[in-house]
Amino acid sequence: MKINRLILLSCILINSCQSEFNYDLKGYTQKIIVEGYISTNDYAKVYLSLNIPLSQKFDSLQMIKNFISVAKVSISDGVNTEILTGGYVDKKHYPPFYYATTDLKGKEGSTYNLTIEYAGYTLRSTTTIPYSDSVNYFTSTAINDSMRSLKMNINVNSINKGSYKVYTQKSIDNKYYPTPFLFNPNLTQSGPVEYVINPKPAENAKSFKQSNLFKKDDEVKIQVNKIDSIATAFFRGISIGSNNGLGSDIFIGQKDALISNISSPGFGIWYGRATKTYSVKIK
Amino acid sequence: MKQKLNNMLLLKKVVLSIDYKSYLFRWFLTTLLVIVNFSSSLSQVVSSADSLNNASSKNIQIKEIQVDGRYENKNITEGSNGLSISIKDIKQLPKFIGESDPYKALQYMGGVSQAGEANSGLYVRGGNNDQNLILFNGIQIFNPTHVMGMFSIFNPDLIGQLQFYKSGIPAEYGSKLSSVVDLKTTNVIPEKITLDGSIGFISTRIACTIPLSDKLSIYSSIRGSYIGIFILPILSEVGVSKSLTSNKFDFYDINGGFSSKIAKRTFLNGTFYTGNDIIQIRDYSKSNFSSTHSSWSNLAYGLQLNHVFNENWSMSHGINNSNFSLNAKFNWFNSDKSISNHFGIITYHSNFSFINDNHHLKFGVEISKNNIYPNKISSDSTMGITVNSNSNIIQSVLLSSYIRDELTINKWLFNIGIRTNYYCHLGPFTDYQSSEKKYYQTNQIIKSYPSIEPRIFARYLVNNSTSLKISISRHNQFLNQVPVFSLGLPADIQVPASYYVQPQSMWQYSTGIFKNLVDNTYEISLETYYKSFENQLEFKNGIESTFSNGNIEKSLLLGKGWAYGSELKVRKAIGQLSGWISYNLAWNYRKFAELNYGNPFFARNDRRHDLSIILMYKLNEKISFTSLFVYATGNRINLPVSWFIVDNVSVLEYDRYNSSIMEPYHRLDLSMNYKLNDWRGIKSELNFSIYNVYNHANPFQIYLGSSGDKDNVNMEVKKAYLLPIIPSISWIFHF
Repeated sequence: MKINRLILLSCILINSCQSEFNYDLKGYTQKIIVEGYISTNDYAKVYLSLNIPLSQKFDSLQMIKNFISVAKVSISDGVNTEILTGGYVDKKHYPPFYYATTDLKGKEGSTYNLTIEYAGYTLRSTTTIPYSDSVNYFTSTAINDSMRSLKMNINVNSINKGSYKVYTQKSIDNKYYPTPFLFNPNLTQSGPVEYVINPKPAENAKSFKQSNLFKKDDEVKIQVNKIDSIATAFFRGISIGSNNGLGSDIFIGQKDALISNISSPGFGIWYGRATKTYSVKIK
Repeated sequence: MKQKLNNMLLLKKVVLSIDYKSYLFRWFLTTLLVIVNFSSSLSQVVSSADSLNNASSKNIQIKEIQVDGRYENKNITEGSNGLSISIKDIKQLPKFIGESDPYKALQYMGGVSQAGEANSGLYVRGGNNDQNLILFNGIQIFNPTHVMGMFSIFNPDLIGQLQFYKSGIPAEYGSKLSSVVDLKTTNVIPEKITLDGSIGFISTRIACTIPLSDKLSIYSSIRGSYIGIFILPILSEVGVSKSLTSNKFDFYDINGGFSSKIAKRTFLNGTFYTGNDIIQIRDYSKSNFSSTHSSWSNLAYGLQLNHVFNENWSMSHGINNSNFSLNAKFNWFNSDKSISNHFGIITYHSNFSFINDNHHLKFGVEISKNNIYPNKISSDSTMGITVNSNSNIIQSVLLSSYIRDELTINKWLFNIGIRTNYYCHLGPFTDYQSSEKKYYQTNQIIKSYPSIEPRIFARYLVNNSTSLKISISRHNQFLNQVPVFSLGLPADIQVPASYYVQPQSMWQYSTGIFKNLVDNTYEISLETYYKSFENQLEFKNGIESTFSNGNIEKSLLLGKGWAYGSELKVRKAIGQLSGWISYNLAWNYRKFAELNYGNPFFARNDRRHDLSIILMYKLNEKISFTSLFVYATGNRINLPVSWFIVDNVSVLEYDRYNSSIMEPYHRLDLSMNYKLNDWRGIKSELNFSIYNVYNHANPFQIYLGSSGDKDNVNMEVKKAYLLPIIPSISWIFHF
């Protein structure tokens, strides 16, 4: 249910009169969509689904049809290979079914090869977990008596280039919510850099009314995930695509072809995350 | 002598900038004004013609004249592939919403495409909207329309003449690639106060000319609309969809000026214009109007001095200043965004003209100083940071000179000229893209772009009713406006040629055959063209990336383009039923190394078919009807072919760049004019107009949305509309 709401949210609508548009599907080809990651000291997770033609009615039944739950997924670190176990369910994610390792955990600097076999196709990808960077400090600024904005000062490594996916979980929330933009998306910054942590909780989140601010005296978890340049390019691409999100939106401009590190006919991303979690008391 | 020169006017290009010849033309216009006004049942018209022999103003009393007979064949003989609309033609243009708008009429006259619903731009032969040089009494105007293109900013009561070039552009015009629209007020000193205007459901305008002496007159006009507070609520009450009636747009503009004869053969004219638009589109707004409306304004003023030395020589000097400001605020994906910019241009130009039986030589210089203030772009989704383009004011100077001669050799007429440009990007400037943030001193030349533009035009007169025309020309453009919105807001990002951005340039090759039939009653023309563009601009990843990286130059891509097509026009110039049919068949391509995998793609304004039909029927002396029908292939757009979700974000997979087409645009407007009897010296008429008669919902926007409930979601392509059927009644008066 929440997934559908999420879809609705992520496709925020502008109300207007509408009618059927005679849309030509000439460019559509089916792809296996891969979202997989392996984090520091954590098991790998891989989500599989199919892309959906734009004109296709997408109901509950169709949604299930687009999940791929019978693939053979394996990960190798060059020494050990593990076939992932399927059938796990994450209700907070789309697609909700995922494959996970039960033995292999991520380590900074290590490389992992992903192989997916499905419907006669074999997809491959490789990623390396980057080395993490250290957060120097967090600072809060009073917006009013009760609400604060939050900044993070992080030591950006200019040699081991990467960007940061940052998630926040306020004490009233039961999950992490992403900040909408990558930090250092162009990989141009170095040294100590200050970022505003601007969470954008979903409408059904308990902290929705707090918006991008933090409540004074709240205990907040900040998860900082460093990702490599390939993953950065991918998430930067989908961020722009999702925020414009439209074919002919009000903004003019070319959308870059999305970058993927999954072999054909797959599409998506297999990436390593150097994850660090911080607990911050908002002052 | 006057008769001789008048005959020449009929044979040669009749519209020129202010010089010896134009005074004769002004005299000619004034005479036409008398006739046209009279034919409009105006019993008394005062003409004040600035003739070369300093003749005093004349009162011409004409009781009745029937304007008919042979129509001149200037479309055959004139020395350009342009279009000249005199005050006579302006009065005969179809009236919609109480106005005969000459600028708007250009959109229906062949070679020019409307961009679509709610887009006011002129897209001439594959060019972009910013590639038109629009001059009002010699002053460059940056945004020439109101209300998403429903009105032009030019008050029709003041316009005396319009000249439009789409090819064969003479060398005295420069700095833009695609076309020239040169509008002039009449600059006639009347003998008594005149008052013209219109009161209607949508807007009201009034224009007044006051002679202070026989050598000085002043004029002023004001125009304002009340669409948002009057017509749209009514339409909403009668059941027109709220998606069409919940938008708000209004405008005002003020004109002022003077015309004076400061010496026997010396004339000084002044022009002032300011106007403002405000708009809120419901789909892109929060409920709070003040936080998400957009506004923009023009401010222009200038002086022009003209002196006639003798029958052959004349000169003109002008200095003017034109400014444009934009403040666009909108809400997009629950994110407040704003774009604001301001830019101004100060221009001095000097022109000299020599004319004899076979030659019309012109030469001159023009210098302009441009100040482009930083584009301020902000978005709360990018952590509330306001980013400026380099945080610099881009200052530049353009020095141009030209010489051209229009010579007649038997049946041939040539207009051969050359224009030189020297454009400099000047300091102060901080190069934020360099690692050391290099600083340039005030007036230091940071980058210069010299260029030469040959202009060649030839006309061969087969006979008095047939001619062939051919032209080859080169053009450069230094001030670019890159559109941000796909709709008609003038929220363009100003990108002048600078250290990082090269000027746009273009070659154009054009040819045409012009034929008149039945004593010039019917005009037929067939023209073809080919254009090649260089250094065309596109935003990489859309403007959204600029919101996050704050450096516009980094988000721009430079590429090539080419366009070609044919234009057929059939016009019935006179008679009880008159009008024209214009059809364009065109192709328009772009090629950027970084876009569409380096393959050519169709430009956004690629329009295969573009048809305009205007019919005017004069039932009797009191009642006349006008209809306008337009049909055009839809704009090219980017549409995705599939979607998927990664990282809980819905992601769209796009097809080849601009590979989809919006549905065709079409619209029918009807109008009826009813002349009322004179009342205490006031001549007036009623204009009944219906814009978009069959209330066709032309989409101005295609977007993706979803429908259904939380368990059944459809992602689908949707459309948004702006302009519904708009009826109006206007009372047009003159006294």
